[in-house]
Amino acid sequence: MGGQVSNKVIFLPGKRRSSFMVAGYLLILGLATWVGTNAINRFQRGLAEDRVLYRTLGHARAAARIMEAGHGQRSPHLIGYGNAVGQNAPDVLRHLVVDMGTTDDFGVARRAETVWSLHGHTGAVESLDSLVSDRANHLATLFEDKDSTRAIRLSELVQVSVAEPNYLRVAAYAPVLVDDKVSALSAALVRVESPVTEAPTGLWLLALLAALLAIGGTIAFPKRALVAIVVSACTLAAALSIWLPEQVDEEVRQHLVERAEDLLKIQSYADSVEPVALVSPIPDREPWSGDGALRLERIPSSLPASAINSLESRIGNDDASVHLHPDISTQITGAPSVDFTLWIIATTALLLFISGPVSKLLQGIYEAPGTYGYTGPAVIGLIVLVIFPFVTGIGLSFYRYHLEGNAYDFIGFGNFAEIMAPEETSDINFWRTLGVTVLWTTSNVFLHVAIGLALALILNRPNLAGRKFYRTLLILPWAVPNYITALMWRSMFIGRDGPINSLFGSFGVEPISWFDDNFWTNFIPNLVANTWLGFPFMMVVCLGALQSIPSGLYEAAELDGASKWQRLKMITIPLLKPALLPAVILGTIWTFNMFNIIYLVSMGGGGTEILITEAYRAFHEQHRHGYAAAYAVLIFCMLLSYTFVTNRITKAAEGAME
Amino acid sequence: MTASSPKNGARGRRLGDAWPHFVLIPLTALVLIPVLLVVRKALAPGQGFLTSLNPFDQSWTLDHFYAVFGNTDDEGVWLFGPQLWNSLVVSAATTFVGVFLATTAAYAFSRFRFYGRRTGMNLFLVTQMFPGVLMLIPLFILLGHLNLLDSLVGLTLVYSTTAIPFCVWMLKGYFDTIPKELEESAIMDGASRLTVFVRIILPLAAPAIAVTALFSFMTAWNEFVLAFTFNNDPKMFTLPVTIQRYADPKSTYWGSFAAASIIVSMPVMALFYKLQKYIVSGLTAGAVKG
Repeated sequence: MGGQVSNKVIFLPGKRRSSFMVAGYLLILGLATWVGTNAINRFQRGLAEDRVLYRTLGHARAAARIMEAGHGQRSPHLIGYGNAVGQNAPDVLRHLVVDMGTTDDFGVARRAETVWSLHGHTGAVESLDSLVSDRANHLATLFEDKDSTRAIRLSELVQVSVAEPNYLRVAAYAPVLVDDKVSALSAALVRVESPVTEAPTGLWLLALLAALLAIGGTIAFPKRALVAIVVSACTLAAALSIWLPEQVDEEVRQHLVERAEDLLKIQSYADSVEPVALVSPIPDREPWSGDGALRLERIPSSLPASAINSLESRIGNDDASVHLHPDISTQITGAPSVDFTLWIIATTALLLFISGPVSKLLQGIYEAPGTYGYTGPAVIGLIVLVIFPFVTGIGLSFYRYHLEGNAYDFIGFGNFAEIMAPEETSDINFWRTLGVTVLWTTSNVFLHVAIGLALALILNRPNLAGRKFYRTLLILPWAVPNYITALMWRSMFIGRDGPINSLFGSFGVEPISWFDDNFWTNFIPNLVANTWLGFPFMMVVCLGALQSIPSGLYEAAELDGASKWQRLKMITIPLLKPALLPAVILGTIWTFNMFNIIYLVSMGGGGTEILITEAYRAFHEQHRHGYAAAYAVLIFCMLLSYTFVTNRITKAAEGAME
Repeated sequence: MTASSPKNGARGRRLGDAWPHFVLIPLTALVLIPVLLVVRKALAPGQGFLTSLNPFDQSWTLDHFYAVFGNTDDEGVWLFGPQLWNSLVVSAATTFVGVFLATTAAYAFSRFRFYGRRTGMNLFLVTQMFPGVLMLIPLFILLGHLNLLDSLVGLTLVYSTTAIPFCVWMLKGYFDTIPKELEESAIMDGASRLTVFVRIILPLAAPAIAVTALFSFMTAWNEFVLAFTFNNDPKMFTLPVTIQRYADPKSTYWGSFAAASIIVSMPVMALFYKLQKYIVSGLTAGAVKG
């Protein structure tokens, strides 16, 4: 063990303690308020965007209903409606009708080919056209496929583009139903300025109040800073839990009224040319109470019932509200106050538990800035690029990701439940993969240690000729980049005439098709590659530790008549332990997460996928971001508890911490 | 073992001296043959996979090396040069940033007692257990926000922060073994902490720092998953991404793969062997304290 450093205590709790406590508290309070402001603004923006989406859908539907009334023809009524919209709602860029199911001269079906504009347009819409025709094609395929039972999500009927800075562009689609079939798609494009959100002054006032409470309390009772802080935090929590739900309810109520007014306006444009039943005038007052939010209105009863049924069953009402847009989905359909309740609890907890350490840190920095100057850059870099992504990743594991619409839904522990209790049909089985991973890790670490230790013992023999030569060659695998090792071993095994098969062939063994569906023929190449790559590390660690064992010990033991085996058991192994255990822990973690070998040698074939590659596959191939994150969180928990338990048992890291 | 190596007797000693070679020679051969086969593949014509165990036959050619050096994209833009440059820049920058941050942090962890020290060190240890995949998605989003996708700066930042924890732990262990009396007497003579750090500690810790530098360099030089996830433009690829493409199962170019592997492995292997004696001492004194 190295020379111990003087235990110079740089930070002395004492006279300035209370002012630093308040300072730490205020810092966290400011941070929490800022986060809260962002959350409230996001909520407001969500409402505003929802209003735009709802209105755009309304426009698309109005045109669709008018066409249905005219049996799919582009009647003068439609033109009249278009003109009315053009005069009254200039931010509606375009109304389009996309024809479906036409055939060309060769009888080949063409879809979404004719795009017919209802009224003139202003502004840059060209860039939207390809977007629109792509989506229209997609929808056309969905609607025409009569056998499909897949529900069409509302998120597929609405497109949001934020490509243009400061503007929100929304396209919405509605099917035009004529004689029991979708004859065309009606589309509306709206371009509005990005919603502006107001600063929640109430929140800042409350935070200011809490800050004054903490400061005032500490000035009045200098020795009771902690009490002042707790009182301040609790007051803030109480005030927030009264004020915030009120505020949220009010905003949602306001939003619903505005949304209804928008729809009434559209109804009035339609009424001016053709009285069709368009939308239910006032939606539910409490969108979170049930199926109210963004419900598709009933299709006019003049249509055949079969058409209504088929379409309604296809456009799923249940998930309609959920998938529309990430921010809106959670806030309008769930009970909004729940989100903020959690937020209030979290904030209070943060204020009470984090501000202590933060204040101590502040005091430390104040009193010995140099010390923190040494660690600061590394710690900050680590927090921004490792801890922050890590925490975000944990957060992500509670969401489900939808590729269509690039949206995330909060599903709580849904991903974990799905992992822990995989469906029969699922191609990912956590428990099986865990078994493979454990087998993979133990067999590798065992081989690494066994081979490494044996070689170290041999190389450590006195009078061994060519020791340097052997050691130089034996650590070669460590120097080779491990992805190259992986690909190299793949090339050794692959093919009927590959090197390994030729070697076996010389013993009269039939060539083996290594990378087919068999587990063992995939597992063994992985194991060979990883053993080849991993033993030098253990060998070097053992060799270093062996050389640090004083030779006097062996001589004394020899004098006492200890046999070679006894000397190995009583001296070598116990003295190797302190060096070997951390190396084994480290090696276990590395092997458990050894992505490159599995991914590049067997490529996961034959069910040799380990947890980390499975998680990557879920992320990269299946785009199940939340699910992959949940997988990774489980991996992390397992490794953490493994390290914790081994540390507890062996106290291996004890020396290094002091 | 006891039976095969008697304590005394000339015959026994000779036998005892000889038997290790019967173990070491085959194992060394096992270590060498795959590498030799790759070398042969790189020098043999054709892109098919290896077909025999004998590394010393067939005609040889440098075509694969020419092909790798002259690698271009579909429009004829030269790729190898820029990709080599990317790898070099990213690795050098990672080494510099990683070593700088790790030495300062490790010194403070070793020499000072301050609030948050234990937490800080545990933080560094725990980050070793973060599965890369968990970080991949948030990092992708984060780098996207910072406009650092398809950029060498983004890769450098990510690589140096992944390399730091290991380096800090290793250096801290090494610094612990340097007697504090050296510093104390220097401080008595009027030297500042910084002077002590730069003039005394850094030179004494040179072996450990060399290992840290090698580790940072290898982290950046050998990484491909983050590199191909964050970078889309072939001109921004690092060499490992290209090598992985050569071995793509759909269209495999084993010859080019072998040649490119040799080109890419050479620098790290040279550095590794140059620094290997420090690696052993650094490892035994540092991360794995003996």
